[in-house]
Order: sequence, then C-alpha cells, then structure tokens
Amino acid sequence: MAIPWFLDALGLTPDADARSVRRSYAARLKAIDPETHPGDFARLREAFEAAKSWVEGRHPGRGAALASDDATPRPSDGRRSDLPAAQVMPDHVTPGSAADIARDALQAFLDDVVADRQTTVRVLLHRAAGALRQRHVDATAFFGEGVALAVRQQAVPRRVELFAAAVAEFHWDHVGHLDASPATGAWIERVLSQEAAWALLPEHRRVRVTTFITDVEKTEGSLRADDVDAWPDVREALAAFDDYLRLRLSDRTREAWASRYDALPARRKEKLERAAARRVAPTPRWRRKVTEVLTGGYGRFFLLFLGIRVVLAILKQFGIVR
Amino acid sequence: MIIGIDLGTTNSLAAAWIDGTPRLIPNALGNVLTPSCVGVDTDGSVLVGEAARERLQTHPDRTASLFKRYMGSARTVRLGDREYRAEELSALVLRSLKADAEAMLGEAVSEAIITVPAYFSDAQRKATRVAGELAGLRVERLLNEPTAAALAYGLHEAGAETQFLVFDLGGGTFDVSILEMFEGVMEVRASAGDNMLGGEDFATLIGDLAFAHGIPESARADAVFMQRLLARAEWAKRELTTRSSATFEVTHGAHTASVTLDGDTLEKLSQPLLNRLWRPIERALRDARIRAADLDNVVLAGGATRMPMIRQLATRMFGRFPAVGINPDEVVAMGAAVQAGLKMKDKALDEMVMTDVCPYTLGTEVARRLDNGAQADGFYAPIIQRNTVVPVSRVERFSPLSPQQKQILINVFQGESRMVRDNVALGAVTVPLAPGPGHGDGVDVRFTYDVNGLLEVEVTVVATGETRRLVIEGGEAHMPAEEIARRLAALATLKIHPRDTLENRTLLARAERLYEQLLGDTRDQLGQFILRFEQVLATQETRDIARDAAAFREALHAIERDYRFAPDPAG
Repeated sequence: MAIPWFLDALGLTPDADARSVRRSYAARLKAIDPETHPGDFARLREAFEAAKSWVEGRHPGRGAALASDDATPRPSDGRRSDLPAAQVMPDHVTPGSAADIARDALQAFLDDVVADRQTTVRVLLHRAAGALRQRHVDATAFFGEGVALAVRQQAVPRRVELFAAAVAEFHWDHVGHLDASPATGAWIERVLSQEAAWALLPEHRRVRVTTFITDVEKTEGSLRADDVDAWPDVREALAAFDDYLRLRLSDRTREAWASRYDALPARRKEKLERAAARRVAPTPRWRRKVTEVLTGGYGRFFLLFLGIRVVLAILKQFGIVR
Repeated sequence: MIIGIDLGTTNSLAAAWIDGTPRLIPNALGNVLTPSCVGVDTDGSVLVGEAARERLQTHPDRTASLFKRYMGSARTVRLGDREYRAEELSALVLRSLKADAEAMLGEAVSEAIITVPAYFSDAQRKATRVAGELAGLRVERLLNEPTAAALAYGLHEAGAETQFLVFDLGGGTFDVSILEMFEGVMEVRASAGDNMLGGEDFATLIGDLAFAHGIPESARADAVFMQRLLARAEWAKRELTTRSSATFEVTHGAHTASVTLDGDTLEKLSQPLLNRLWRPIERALRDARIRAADLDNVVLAGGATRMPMIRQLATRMFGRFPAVGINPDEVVAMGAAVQAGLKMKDKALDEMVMTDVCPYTLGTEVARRLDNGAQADGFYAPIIQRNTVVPVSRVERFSPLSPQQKQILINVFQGESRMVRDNVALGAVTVPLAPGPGHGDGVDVRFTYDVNGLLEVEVTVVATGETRRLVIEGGEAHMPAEEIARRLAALATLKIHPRDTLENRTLLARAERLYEQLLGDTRDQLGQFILRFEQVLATQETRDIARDAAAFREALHAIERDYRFAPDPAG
C-alpha cells in the first residue's frame, strides 16, 4: 500500500499517531520561515492538516464526536413541548455541569415558548441565552445546538419565529457555521437557502400555500374539504422547500393531510391535480423561446417589418397607396 | 535592534529583547506606561504622554487622545493651528517611545514590531503601518495583541502541551484568541473580537451618571468639563478595583453632582457592555472546535481586565480562575519584544515558533441561480475562511453568468454575512472577457493574506492569462505615497518638547490642571507654587530645579490627596 502523500511529506509511516504528527510538523516548521517561503509553509501546513484529520479519523476523539450528531426527525403535535429536553440534546454531550445547566435551561425555554404567547420568541430566546451566558460559556453552545435540534425535530411550536430569533441570537446566518458544526450547519444552510428561494416565488403562490398550512395547523387535524383540496399545491411546495416549510407544517399534520387527500375519489383527485399543475406549470419551452426571439434584437426588427407590411397591405386594399 | 511596541488606545509601551529576555523600556518620567495622548503647547511644541494627558483637562482644544479608535478612517483632529490624522498622532507617540528606547539602549532604533488588535481590519492595519513610517520606524511586523500576550505567557510555559485562551480587554478594543502549544509551536487556533469595546467605554458609562445627578445635558458641549468628568470617572473606575465603593464630585457652573457607586451598581450599569463580551468568545470557541472545559488556562491581557467584575465574569464564564502572575498592562508589549527576539533569530528562542490566523472571512460577490431558475445577486462567496493559518494563498474560479458578458467585476469583501450588503467592501477590480472559445472558463481569483494581516488580490482571465492586481487601499482613508511623504516632511518640522525637561513640563501641566479645579486659598497657594517653580526653571540651574521639583511634586500629592481628585496616575 502506498503511503499517503501527507505522511510522506511529514516523513512519517502509516503507524503515526497524533503526537508524532505534531512533532514532525513542529520540527519542519522550525526549519522554514513562513514569511519568506510562503509556498513551503503552505505545503507543510496542508500536509499537517491532512495528517491530523487522517489520524483523527482512525482514532475518533472529541473533535470527531462533534461532527456526528445526525438528528432523526421526530413527529410532535406541535402544541406542547412534550419532548424532554434531554432527548433533543446532542448525543455527544457528556454529563457535566455545562450540559446539565444547558439541558435545564433548554427545557424551561421550550416550555416558555409554548406557554408565554404574550412575549415574542426573540425576547424569550435572548433572555434565556443571556441568563445562561452568565453561568457557563459552554452551556450556551450546547443550548444553541439544542435549539436547532428542537426546531428540526419539531419539538416546539412557533418554529418560524424561533428560527429567525436563533439566526439573530447565534448568528446562524454567518458563513463558517457549516464548518464549525457540520450536522446542524448543513440543516441551517438548507433552511436559509430555501427561505431565500421561497421569497422569490410569485406572491400568490406563496400566500396560497402558507395560508392553507396556517389554517390546517390551527384546526388541529380536523380538515375542511377545501383544505384537503389544496393538498396538491402544498405537496408541490414541500417537494422543493421541505426544510423551510417544515418550520411551518409539522410532520404529523402533513401525514394526516396526505392521507385525507388519498381517500378522495380518484376522479376528483385527477381534477384537482390538473388544476394544481396549471397553477404551477412553467410556461412551455416553445412559448418561452418564441417570446425570447420576438422580443430579442432581430425579433423586434422582424415585428416592425411585419407591422409595416400589414399597414401597407391595408392601405393598398383601400386604394390609398398604389 | 528591533523593538516591540504596544500602541494602545489609552497607554502605549515599548519593550526590547535584551540578553535573552523581554525588558520594558521606561519613558523620560521613569514610567513604562506612556499615555497615548498628544498635545500642542502654547509655544507650539508637541507634548506626548503624561504631560499631554494632564493638559486634556486644561486645553482640550490643543490635546488629543483615544485616536486609535479613528485609525483607518480619514477623520482628523485639530490641535492648535493644524489638522492631524490618527496616523500622525500615533506617529508622535511612536516617536516618543522610539526616543525612550534609544536613550535606554544607547543606539539608534529604526525597526519595530507594532501590535494591533487581532480584529483590526485591513484599513486599520495599513494605517498602523503608515504611523510607523511617519515615526521613522520600519514596521517589521504587525503582531496581533492577543498573540503577543500568548507569546509572553508561552515563554513561561516552554515545552508544555497546552491549550489556552487569551482574553484581551484593552482601553478601546476587545480580542479573544484560542491557542494551542506543542513541541515549541505556538499555534493560534481562532481569534475574534470587537473593535469598539474597551475600558474607556466603562469610564464613559460612569461619567454619564453625573447627568442623572444634577448636571444638565447642555454641559456635554463643554469640552473642558467633559474631560474633567471623564478623568473623575476613570479615577472612580480604578478606585473600585481595590475598594468597595467610590465617590466623585463634579461642578459645572452652578450645578454640582456627587456620584457614589459600588461594584454591584457598576456591574448592573455595565450589563450592555458585558453582554458584548460573549459573542467573540462563543465564536472563537466554536471556530477552534473546543469547549471552554477543554482549556487548560485563561490568560488576561489589557488594563481593563483589572476590573474585579471582569475577572469575576471570566472566572464564571470559564469555570476557572484566570492565570495570574503576568501584569495585564505589560504582557502585550512583552510579547512584542519576544516577537522581536524571534525576528532577530535570537538563540534563546531557537525552539519557539508561532503561527497566527486571519480573523475575518475574505471573499467576493457572486450571483446565483436558484432552484426555480431565477437569478439573484449579492451573495458572498468566501475565498479565505476566517481562522485560516497565515500566510495563506487561495484561488477560486468564477464563471461569467451569460455568454454575452464582456467583463467580470470582482468585488472584494470582508465579513461573515451570507449577503455582501452586510459585509465590509474592501475594493473592486474589473477584468475584460474576450468572446470566443474559453469565454465560459471565466477568471481565477487569488487572495493572498500575509503574516501582517494584509490582503492582496489577483484576478487572472483563464482563457488569455491576462492578470489584474487589486491593491486594497483602505477606502476613504487611503494615503498615497506622496501624501505620506508630505506628512512625514510636515511632522519633521514640528518642534518636539525636549526629552530631558519633559518631567518638569509634566509637573507643571499637572499643577495647571489642579489649579483650574481648585477654589479659594488652596488655589492661591498653588498659584504661588507654580510661579515659583517657573522662576526656578528659568534659572536653568539643574540642582535647584531638581530640588524644587521634588518639593513641588510633594505639594501636588498633598493637594490631590486632600481633594480626592484624580490621583497621581504614575503612582
């Protein structure tokens, strides 16, 4: 087996451990001046970083543990934060004062989000995070991850508000978040980009979908007939904006909605599907093409030319010109 | 000889690497702290340091302080008959430190390592470098302040494997750095900060209390009063580091305010400022991918970390007591001297090497095609991620949006937001694109960030190999080379107060400040003292002057003690 390039660059063998990687890097670093030989330094640095993560991959330490919390979404009725905070805490949180403090604070906060409808989520979150910060710096980091998981797992209502509040409080919208906490970061990234794309949809489509979702969430599962009829539109939107719309629509309501729709007579469903398809269908390709050609540079001259010919033909018809 | 300089918001220090150890350099008054204040005397000569600080209260229109906060901006301050930029005022401070170093070392000093807050932007760093040039110093290196503190700390910990955090709250800036040390390598893992948060903000907060105790708001327009108020507030802040409560009085016209506050009140009052300490700490920890519990130590730097509430907060935050033993006022300058030793390849530092990071994300603006086919611009495409080890050079390829495009505009930004409108624009460069084959390959954009924290951008058209270099000039504050030369010549004509009589001049400035604050008999008495001292100074009899100066200093001490005015800052 060939020795990986980074081990070769550091003069190491495949049995190298974290300590020998550091020692070899240190020895080589002392021999070069990064200021005058930036190229040599860049290569050494790259080898060091590659070797570090290679070693870490073989012996997962605390660095790797941070990267391995993949949350499986759990349905919830979205009315009560009935999921114990312990369940939404990341798995890698080992028992200890900071984690315990964070867990208690998260539970209290989630309860407040449910019970205290008078206060905005932004204020509640700021208050909770502020109080936590006074106690332990690590606790806030756990708490932030816990909030992300609670929203993602739909363990809490008012998720649109809560997500926006957390973006402001923990700067989730800043670049680099993805690298700092891969699992949460990737989800946040998806929600943010879907949110941005969603905002660019025609307003009537957005309003139609969100109005129905809000309605249905409010009726707590007892769907009216026109709610059920709107399912094809909502389903289409969910297909493209799943992570973002899950802030609004709980998985449980979604399932109930889908099954009510499935129970409709086939003829009716067909009709509804056609109507929905008409609403969202993009302009056919050939029509777009024709519009493009006709309004493009030469197209305009062509239209002008055609217009003049028509006018001339009419004038000739009436004998005004010969 | 390279010296290390901590050019601070409130105080500046110089240190040198002598006989294998960092040593602080005393100024003409024998102090290692030189206030970062510059004043113009009535005879037109320039006063730097303690004398200027005393004159802040008597001649606010001829004295400047806190100018580090304007570094990198085009803002000027008028002193006497001339406008000064922050670079020039800093240069005057640097020049005074340089003279002190030359007096101590007995040789000319022309090179220096100057420390800057880790979170200083490109423009602020460039301005600091210009300040060095204007002071006749070649700036060998701009060193991040928390990194400097870490170097001084690391010297004691040589050989240990350790992870620690530097909490650097200075007069005007706050920085956090997380470092790892192994095998003699000092590696900065992450840095974050707030350039507008420091000890001065706490003093301002205390001073504002006077307006709630009877001083009318209109007094804010009175510069003399405001400086006096600030000095009292500063005094009260310092008192509270050793005492449980402090009281100060200020008078403006017919109004007198007496303000008493204790540690708890100050802490409550400071809550908005304390809350701002969190963000950089959380970010640094997250970026370094470690928990506070994994830190082996917390090192405090910066004079403001002397405040008990800051110490308590740090202890609570990290669940441990911060490292003691290093003077937080001096640690940055000491570290700068260590870096000077490293730069001179001193044998004692053979086994030590330090790497730093770029604290900001640097990138460019891109337009994106969204899922629904629409196109949106204003997105930020990072090229160098924050906390990448420097020096670093990264290249990214960008393609034109449409085949008809005739040029590509590369906007350069610094910041962490996903949208460029929330980031800081550093500059822009346009490159032409020729139609034909290879048009779609677009351009390669290379960002190079050096050890001093300065950025260079190079754009290459892939098809033609044509290259454009973008010089980041720091926007409105940019000074072209001719301008620097002109200002250098102008500074050279300034008359600097001679170093050997600076001590007596400082004494007089302090007496004049006291004179303005006193009333009745004591004032007349002090007036007599001043007159007499001026007469002795005029005789130029060195021995008489020395004797009188000592008596004069004693008298000023006694008056200050009695009247609870700002105590002798040198003491």
